[in-house]
Amino acid sequence: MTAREPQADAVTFDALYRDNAGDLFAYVMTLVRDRACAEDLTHTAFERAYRRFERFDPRRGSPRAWLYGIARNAALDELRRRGRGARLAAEPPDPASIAGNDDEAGLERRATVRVALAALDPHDRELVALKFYAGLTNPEIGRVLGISASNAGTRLNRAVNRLREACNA
Amino acid sequence: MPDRKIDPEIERDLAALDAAVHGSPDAEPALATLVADVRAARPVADPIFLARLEEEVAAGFGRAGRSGHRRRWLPPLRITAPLGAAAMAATVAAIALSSGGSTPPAGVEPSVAGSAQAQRSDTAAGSAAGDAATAESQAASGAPQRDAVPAASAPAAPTSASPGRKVERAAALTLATGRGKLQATADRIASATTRLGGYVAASSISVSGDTGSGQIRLRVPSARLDEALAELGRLAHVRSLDRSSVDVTGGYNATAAALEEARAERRGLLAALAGATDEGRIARLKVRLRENAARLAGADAAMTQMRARTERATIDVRLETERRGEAPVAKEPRFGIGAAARTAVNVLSAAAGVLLLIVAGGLPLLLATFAALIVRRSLRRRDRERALQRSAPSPAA
Repeated sequence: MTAREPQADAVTFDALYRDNAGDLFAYVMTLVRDRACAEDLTHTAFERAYRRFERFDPRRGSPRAWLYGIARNAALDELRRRGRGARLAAEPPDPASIAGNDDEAGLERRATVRVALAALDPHDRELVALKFYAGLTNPEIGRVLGISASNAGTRLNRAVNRLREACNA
Repeated sequence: MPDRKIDPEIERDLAALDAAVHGSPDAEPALATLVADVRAARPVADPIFLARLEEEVAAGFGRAGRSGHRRRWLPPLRITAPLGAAAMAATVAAIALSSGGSTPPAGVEPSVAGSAQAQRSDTAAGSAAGDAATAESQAASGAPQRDAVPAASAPAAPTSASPGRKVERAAALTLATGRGKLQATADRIASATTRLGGYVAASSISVSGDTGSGQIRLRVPSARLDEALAELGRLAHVRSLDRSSVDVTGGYNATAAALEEARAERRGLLAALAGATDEGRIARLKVRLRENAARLAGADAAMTQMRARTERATIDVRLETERRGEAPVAKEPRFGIGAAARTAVNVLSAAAGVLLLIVAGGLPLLLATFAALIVRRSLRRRDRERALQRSAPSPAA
């Protein structure tokens, strides 16, 4: 990559940050299920991405996939360090997700989905987060996970089916 | 990564999912509801955390260290490249100098061969035939060396034998003098020889006009042979110089042993004669004494001759006058274009050798490092996936 103007770098990275900050936190939180840890990891991911941004090669994929790949590695390294200690008590449900919804059936349905999500296999939960929270395309998901796009699609389809089965169980 | 063709049914399901995720009005209602419910469970970042993070992004996460973070462990190329080139040049120069890049000057051949001394040991009973004789001679080129010191430059001509060894040394020297200077040179040769403790054993000079030739045999102490040759080389142009040496230790020891044996026998015979009373015995002892005397004289003479051979070296000097029109050969510059070209070839050869060694040594290391990196990357990836799997909720949760 040729050297860029610092101003151009800031604008491009700034846009990447603004478009993905919340989604990235949601994804990392899905992996580690610890708010404080997720905040640290989100910060680490953006900092690493910022320092490596000059070396990013667009021919290797989208900036979003690249960013989520950095975050994934950071999160999994953290899980490795913790060993099995990452099994924390589930975070209390976000009040914002409950408030304002007067439909009792809807509340019950969402509670069911929340329970089903928590019970999902970690790999399936990760796929759901990448698709539902981050809105990544299948090729981008494959890029993050280090697999092919078709493989990512197949796994995603399987994960969604399991989620639906768990919700309907 | 090779991408296989996805199952059509799965492809349709994925397309439906994408439609629901993107909020398409044609999305399957159940899927759209699922997407909404899942997103409702989406963890939301603390606004305070996001605000702090945005500040850090705006500040560039400590922008001062950004530009230098890359390859902090390696100096910039503009520094490493010249350093590497200088290191390479120094290595090549060191190799070229240490491998004897200085070739002999063109046209000036070494005029003295190494005199090889065969240190073959002879048996005590060995005769002179058992002496090991190894004579080496090297004729120099026609380049006269007025101030050369041929003897001193002899690469392998020790001036003294190893302790206990007896060596007979000799040299043949051809000197060219200026026209009309033959006799004067011969006189100087004799004077130099006398100063060195030697003498002129034989001399024959023939002069005709201002040309002539001569033969002079010198005998100088063996220990001063090199000094003598150097002195003679300064008197005139040296056209050639041959040196030889013969290890006569075996013969020397055998001669000394025979002499001692004859002496011991004489002592014994004299003692026996002093105590003899019988006339017959006395007569027999006297006969043996006469025989012993002859043997003793012979052994003594052989020993004297052996000492002469080893204690003094012979130098046969041939004198010649320079031919008309023959100009003294100018001393070749010690380092001319030819020598420079040879040195350059040596340096380039050494450089090529160094490069070859670097490639030969570095390539396996490079391959091994590359393989180790691949293995490490694969192991790390496997560990990460395992860590994710271990984070699965426990049944009790």
